[in-house]
Amino acid sequence: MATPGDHPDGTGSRLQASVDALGGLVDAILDPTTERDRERRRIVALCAPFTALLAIAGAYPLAEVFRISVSAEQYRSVGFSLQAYETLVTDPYYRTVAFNSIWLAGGTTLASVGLAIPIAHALEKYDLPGEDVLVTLVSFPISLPGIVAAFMILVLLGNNGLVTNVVAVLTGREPIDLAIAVSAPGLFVAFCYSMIPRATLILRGTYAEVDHAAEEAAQSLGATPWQTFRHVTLPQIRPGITGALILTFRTGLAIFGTLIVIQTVVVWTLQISRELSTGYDIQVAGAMATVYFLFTFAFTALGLRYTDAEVGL
Amino acid sequence: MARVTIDSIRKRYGETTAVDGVSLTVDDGEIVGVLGPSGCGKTTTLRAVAGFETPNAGTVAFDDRDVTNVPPENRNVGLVFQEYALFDNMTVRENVAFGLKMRGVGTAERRDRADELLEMLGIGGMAARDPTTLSGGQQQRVGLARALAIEPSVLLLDEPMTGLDAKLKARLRDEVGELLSALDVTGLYVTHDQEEAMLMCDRIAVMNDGRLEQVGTPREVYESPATEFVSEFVSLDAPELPFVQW
Repeated sequence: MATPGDHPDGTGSRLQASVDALGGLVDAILDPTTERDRERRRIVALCAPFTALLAIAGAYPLAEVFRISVSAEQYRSVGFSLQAYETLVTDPYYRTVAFNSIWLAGGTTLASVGLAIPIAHALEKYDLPGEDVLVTLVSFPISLPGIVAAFMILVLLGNNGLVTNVVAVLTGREPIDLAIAVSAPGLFVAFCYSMIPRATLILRGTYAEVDHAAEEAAQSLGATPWQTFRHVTLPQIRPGITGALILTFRTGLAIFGTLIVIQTVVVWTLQISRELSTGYDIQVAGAMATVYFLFTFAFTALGLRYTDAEVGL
Repeated sequence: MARVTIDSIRKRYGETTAVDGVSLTVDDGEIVGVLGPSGCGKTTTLRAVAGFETPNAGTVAFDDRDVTNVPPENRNVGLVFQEYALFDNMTVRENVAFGLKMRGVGTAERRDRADELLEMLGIGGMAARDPTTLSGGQQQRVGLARALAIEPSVLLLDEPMTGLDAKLKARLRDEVGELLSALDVTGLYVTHDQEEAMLMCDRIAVMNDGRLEQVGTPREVYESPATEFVSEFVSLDAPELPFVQW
């Protein structure tokens, strides 16, 4: 006779088999016999520090942030309420903030990857004089905090900025009418400044694997340099472009330092900061952080699932 | 097809001279083998003819047209590579038709021409295949069909048999040799394999250290080497009396 614990479809036996297999794996790691077992133990040892860090510095804070976002009280994590999520969905202000984040990150991603393609093309395809210096200059902004990048944009495109004043002299207009640093275009440029090097980094790796003989074959068959790029090079670097789009878009969503200086467009990260500093609405801040994590995780996972992009999670 | 005249070309890379005053004429319909050890400048010479290298001195001409500074896409040169260099994102037929597409030839005509060439090279049934699924020999046939499709002024073959196993190499050598003769192609055939050069080429140009050591028919080069280098290089591993086939 069947008992409540039995599953006619064999689910129970499969579960038992999985538990047994896991137990066997643990035994093999603790007391390895074969080379495969020893290899597994080495893999576990190599990954253990990061796994611990992920659990302590990643999973736990994320779970806590989620717990805060559904707390019924402001200063204690008690009860369960979806009020913060309801606010995010129903309040037009937050929808505008989400929209701002998407268009700013999306627009700067397209611009950055679009500019990174010719840079990577030139760096990888040709022997350039002073190539090491060029690579350093191109990759340098990666190491700059966003706040410094914003300061540089002020120095270039602000009221007293170099570019602003040069254009003012050339056109005869007032610098104050030409300064764009503290505006959406200025923010756009500042974002691109931080994102182009990241896109270039990925694309250079992709370009390094391009079959140059195939490019030469195309040229000898009558293809112009543009036709060669379109028909032969582009299909080869497409996974890299997709990877660069994913990584750069994520970077665009995550930028915060630049926004502290140039607060002309309120985006998700800036609004999280404001929720914490103005009125201390920690539930909404927690909900925004949770939504942000889920969105970027799902975006990356889907991006990798449905493309052959070359970028890790 | 055209007559190719290489006149005193010199190519330097920094302090290194890759090609040093090479002069060579390939007559219309003739296959000339450029034979020599690795690093002797034979591929640089071929790339100068293709337009991928501009010589520091000297000229390259097709018939009476100086093409020294003409970009590769305007030279009408067919290139066959050692590593095949097929377009992995295209089918076999699309590979062969690529040059015709770049010349604005219509879809139907491209298809017919590609199928005809593939049939001629014995791989007619593979037109719709992904080239990466083909064997090395089959891929090289696709590469040859692709280069011939544009009816090039000159066909340049850069070590096309290297990397193939001996049996396949022997078979392909015979087939390709017959095909090139039948099509009356003007060709420059770069190889380091003496046997290949002797069996496939009307004349052989032996290179060493960026210079031409000797140009002559395979028999002349084999029987009357002009220098000690030619004597040593050609006699090493040379085929047993290949002249019986000439």
